[in-house]
Amino acid sequence: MIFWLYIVILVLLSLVIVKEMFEERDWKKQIALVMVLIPFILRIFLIK
Amino acid sequence: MKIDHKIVASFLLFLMTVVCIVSGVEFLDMRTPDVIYPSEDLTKIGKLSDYFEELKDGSGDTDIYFFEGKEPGATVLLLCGTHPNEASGFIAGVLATENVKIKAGRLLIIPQACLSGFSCTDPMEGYPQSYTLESKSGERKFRFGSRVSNPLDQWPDPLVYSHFPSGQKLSGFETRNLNRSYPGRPDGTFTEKVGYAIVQLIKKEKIDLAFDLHEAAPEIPIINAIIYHEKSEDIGLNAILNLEFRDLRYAPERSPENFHGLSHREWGDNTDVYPFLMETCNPIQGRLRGRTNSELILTGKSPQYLAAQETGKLRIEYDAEGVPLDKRVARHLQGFLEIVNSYNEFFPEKTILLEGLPEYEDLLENGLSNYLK
Amino acid sequence: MRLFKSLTLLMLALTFITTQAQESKKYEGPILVTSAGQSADVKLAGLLLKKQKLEAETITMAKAEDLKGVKTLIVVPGFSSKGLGAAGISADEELKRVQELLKQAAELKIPVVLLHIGGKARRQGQSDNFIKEVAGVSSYMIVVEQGNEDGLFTELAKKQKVKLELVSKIPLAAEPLGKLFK
Ligand SMILES: [Zn+2]
Repeated sequence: MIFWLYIVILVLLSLVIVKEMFEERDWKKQIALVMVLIPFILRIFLIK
Repeated sequence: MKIDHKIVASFLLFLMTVVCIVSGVEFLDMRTPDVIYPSEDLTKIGKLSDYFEELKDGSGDTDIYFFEGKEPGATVLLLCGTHPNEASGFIAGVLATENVKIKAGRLLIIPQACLSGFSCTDPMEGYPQSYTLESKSGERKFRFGSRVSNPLDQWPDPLVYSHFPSGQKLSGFETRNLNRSYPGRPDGTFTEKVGYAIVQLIKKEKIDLAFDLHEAAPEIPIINAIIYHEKSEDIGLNAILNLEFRDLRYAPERSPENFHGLSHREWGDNTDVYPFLMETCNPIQGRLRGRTNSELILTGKSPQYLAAQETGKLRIEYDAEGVPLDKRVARHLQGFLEIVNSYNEFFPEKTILLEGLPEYEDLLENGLSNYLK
Repeated sequence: MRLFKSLTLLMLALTFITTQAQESKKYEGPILVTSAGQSADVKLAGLLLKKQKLEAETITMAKAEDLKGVKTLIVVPGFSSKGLGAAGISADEELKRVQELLKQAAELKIPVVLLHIGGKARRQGQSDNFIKEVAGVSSYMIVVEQGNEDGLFTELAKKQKVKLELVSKIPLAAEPLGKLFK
């Protein structure tokens, strides 16, 4: 139960980050955001 | 020229997808099971879930190799791979599975006790995912895993791990450490369930003598030790004296009564078994190891450790030739054989007779590759 | 009554003289074996004595009171955190116990034999503290060579002006140990 709760939180956070990335105008900050995204995506797909 | 920020975002998203796929493929490669070719004396291959249904087909459902002799005798459990980043224990288990012949008694081998831990590496350590060993059939790849269960199987970690049933407090990371989980419980965490299943196996199969093979960093004081439960003391000390005659030194260490969750404590307290834990020296686990690659697993050669030792400031057991995997495996097997012999001396009416396993000197002379199929 | 008293005194004096005479010859039982640092090597020492058919009592955490009636004290130095954990005491408490025991042994004029069999695993760091403590009052040392690679025991024996017997393996320590009492 708590496991899936964490996954849901991760999915929501990832969506927020993607949205933020499309609104961000500074490319350096965009790169930072996408780097945060990588471990989230890998965990959502239960790869790492 | 100014590129639209939305195009940049799309491009970055694409780049991220590529990175995720490439790293994902590499990470998923660690889920390919290691292949073991058991000797002809194999009776059957069991599963850990035979002792606790809930683990069935999951990532903790490890294989158990049964070898049963024609004559009755003691039942021995050789448990390896408790910590999947300690290669010598796992390889000693593989070697035993592929070579052992049994005349009397029963031998159960679990080469990968913490199967889940073999599917990932420890974060922040830069460990290789695998290493390759020469064998009679060419090169064979073995996984080099994590010290603990894969976080995908048990997540998240608590801040503080409270051991069941003692209530002993340990750092949160240890909650996934199989060798802190015993005796385990059926309704606990993933790792506690695996620990519970192993204790059930010891009870159900009426194991008389059990081994848990490990490795540790050169600076850890208990390397090259035989750690025993107080009831195993006489068997252990007798074995240590016999090992001395071969010029193999093993420090006797008695299991502390108040340190819970460890195999040598909880197996002994909760079942009728005589438990033993052995450690060899593995520089890749140490803080001073330097370059971290599969070479280091195989040669155990680390110039940094040599330098550290030469300062004389640290209590390190290390020498210039390093501690190659062959030697570490040979130590484990010889220790195993001598303790089995010692057990036979103490229980002549219920012996276990094994053949086919190389003695220390033979393994060093012929090399590991000659004992892997 | 007075006669009885003086008779007992006389008898006591006589026994004292005879034991004195014997003591100058060799080590003798009853033997007490104890650890300094709580390594399990002390159990191996007990096993070695048994193999030499010598009766000895092993008390891993012997206190000053345990020296009552003892004629030889064998101390096996070697530090083990697992051992201390098993005993449920700290390194400082262990060092204090050893110091008090050795002090009492010196007061009772009980000879102390140092037996180091743990090799490299029981050297340096905390182990060396215990080794030095015991070496300072010992009258004989038996050491497995691997523990003396840096010559610490050679040096300690020279300083203490006592005999140091080096053996190559643990089981070989049994013989010189047995010889002490024969
Ligand atoms: Zn380990």
